[in-house]
Amino acid sequence: MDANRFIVKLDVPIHSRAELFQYVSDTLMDAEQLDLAGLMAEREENGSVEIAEEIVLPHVESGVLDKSQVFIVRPEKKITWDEQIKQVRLVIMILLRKEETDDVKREISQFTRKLADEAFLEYLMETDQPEI
Amino acid sequence: MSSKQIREQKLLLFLSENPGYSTSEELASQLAISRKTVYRMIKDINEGSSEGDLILSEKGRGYALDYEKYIQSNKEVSRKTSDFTPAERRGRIMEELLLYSPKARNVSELYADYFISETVIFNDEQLIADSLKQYNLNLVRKSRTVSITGEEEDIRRAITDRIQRMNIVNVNDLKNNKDLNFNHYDVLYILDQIKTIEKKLDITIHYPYDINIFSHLYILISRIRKVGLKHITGRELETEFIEDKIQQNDQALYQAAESTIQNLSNYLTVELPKSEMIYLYQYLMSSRMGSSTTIATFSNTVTELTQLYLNEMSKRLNITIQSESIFLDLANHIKPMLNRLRHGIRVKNSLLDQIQMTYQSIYDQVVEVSDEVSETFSLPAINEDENGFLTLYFARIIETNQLPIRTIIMCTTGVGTSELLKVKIDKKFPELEIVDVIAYRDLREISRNYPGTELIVTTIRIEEDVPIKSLLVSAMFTEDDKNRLQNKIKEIYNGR
Repeated sequence: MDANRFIVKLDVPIHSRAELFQYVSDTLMDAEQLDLAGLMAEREENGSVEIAEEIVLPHVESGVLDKSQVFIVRPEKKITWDEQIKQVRLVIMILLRKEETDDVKREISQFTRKLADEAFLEYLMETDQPEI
Repeated sequence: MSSKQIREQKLLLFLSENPGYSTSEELASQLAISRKTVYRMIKDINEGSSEGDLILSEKGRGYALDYEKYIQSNKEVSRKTSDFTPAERRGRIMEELLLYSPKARNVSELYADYFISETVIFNDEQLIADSLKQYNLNLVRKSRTVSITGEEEDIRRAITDRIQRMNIVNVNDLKNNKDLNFNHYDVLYILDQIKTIEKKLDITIHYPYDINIFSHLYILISRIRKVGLKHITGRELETEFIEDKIQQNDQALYQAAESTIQNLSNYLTVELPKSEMIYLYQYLMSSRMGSSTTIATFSNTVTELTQLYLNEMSKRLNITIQSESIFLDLANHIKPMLNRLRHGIRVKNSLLDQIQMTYQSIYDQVVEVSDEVSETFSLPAINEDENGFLTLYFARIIETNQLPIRTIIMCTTGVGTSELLKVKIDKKFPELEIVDVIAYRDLREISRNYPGTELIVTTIRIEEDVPIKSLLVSAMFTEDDKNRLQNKIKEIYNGR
């Protein structure tokens, strides 16, 4: 298992969605910097990414990515996501490389399945342990 | 119940089974009444409710039931004795006359509690006479008295129908029910007798058969108390013939009937004739009994009849029924049903309205098959109560055997919201068989990769034409999403 598959960052001093994308792209991603905002925009036009109150799960599959990663970012203060989702306390971003292997896909879906568990979401919202 | 009450009941029933909002057009067409009548009925229901508005209305959406209040209000059905509707008044007068038949009753005494005019009384008598005709009974008016005359068996049958119309569901409710003008001691005595029968035979007699046996015995006691022993001529003749025919395995039932009638004889200090034993025995063998050992051997007629129902219904419902347990279950119902038909014993089905409304198409098909069955086996016509019971068996078969809907869940990546959704849907919707979770770009391959897929649940809008039903839901899978999915499932089941 790749140690950098899941990255958790707590109380990050970002104040907007744009800053969040910038932050992930500049400091967290293993690969080269990317226009994440542009990548995500199309996805969100077609359906909301809110998975629970104050939690969003933007996810995208793209050929421009060369590594699949999951970023769990909890901003210091709630940020506004878009017109509909005004308050976001937790962002879980999944970037999936095109033609990813089944093993990696399985690893990621095992994680997303856990998100159906309210207790797990609560843990992510409250914890001060940057581990999942 | 008056026809207005029945309509109100139906409206509430419909709303309770169709959660969410229904438009006035829908309600009007369901109940075959005008929209104006719908408005008026809803107004009446809401004004008549002590809980506040039972039916909520919202502009542009229609009407919905406030479920909690509805349940609350159903509990409080106790009512004042003074406000009987005309139909209820006639029912009670008829019951009294039946119980005293052939004794004549003084008209002013009979109507003393109701404070109504001679004209209304005259009108009542016409209507009572009319409804007695179906039992071959006559209403005889002589100066200031009125009486009912006819065969004892017909009189008892009329009283049975009358009592069963009260919709008693739990036999133990009879102990404290103040709406019924029953003799309390007799009620307790009969309940005790039924318990003794159950103990002796090591069985439980379930609703509605317990109520049925109760009414039978209660009527017997009431008749003897009020007018002395009346012989049932038709059954008396049959007695010896039937006694010879009691099968080996029914000895226990016959003995239970015998000792119960013996107990009643002592209780009433009247020697009861053998025909009463046979009558009770017929009631017992007409009841489905729950015991630890289900009967697995049936007469040829029962087997053939059960098989005919299963074959015809599976053809009509387009399902295959090939399970031993379904056969046994149905045969265990049909065996006593056959006895009921042969001995003219009717069991009231108090869920009939609800069954007809909820399982309308199954019910209609059962009626068709029943007609065929009575013709093939030269049986008396199978009445609507019986058809209602049978409907439930097939409704259950459908509900438990309904093939799951092959479903694909989709999101952008196939590992994000779709996986999350899968967990949520799996828990709540056993009707769906989730075949796989896929990414949006695999959409076009669905038909090839997952043949037979009937539904796509997706968290992103589908932009292209896909020949498969789909439903866009939010990843949060809100109540609204659940409702819409439920409707989609119904739509797919109906389309099959």
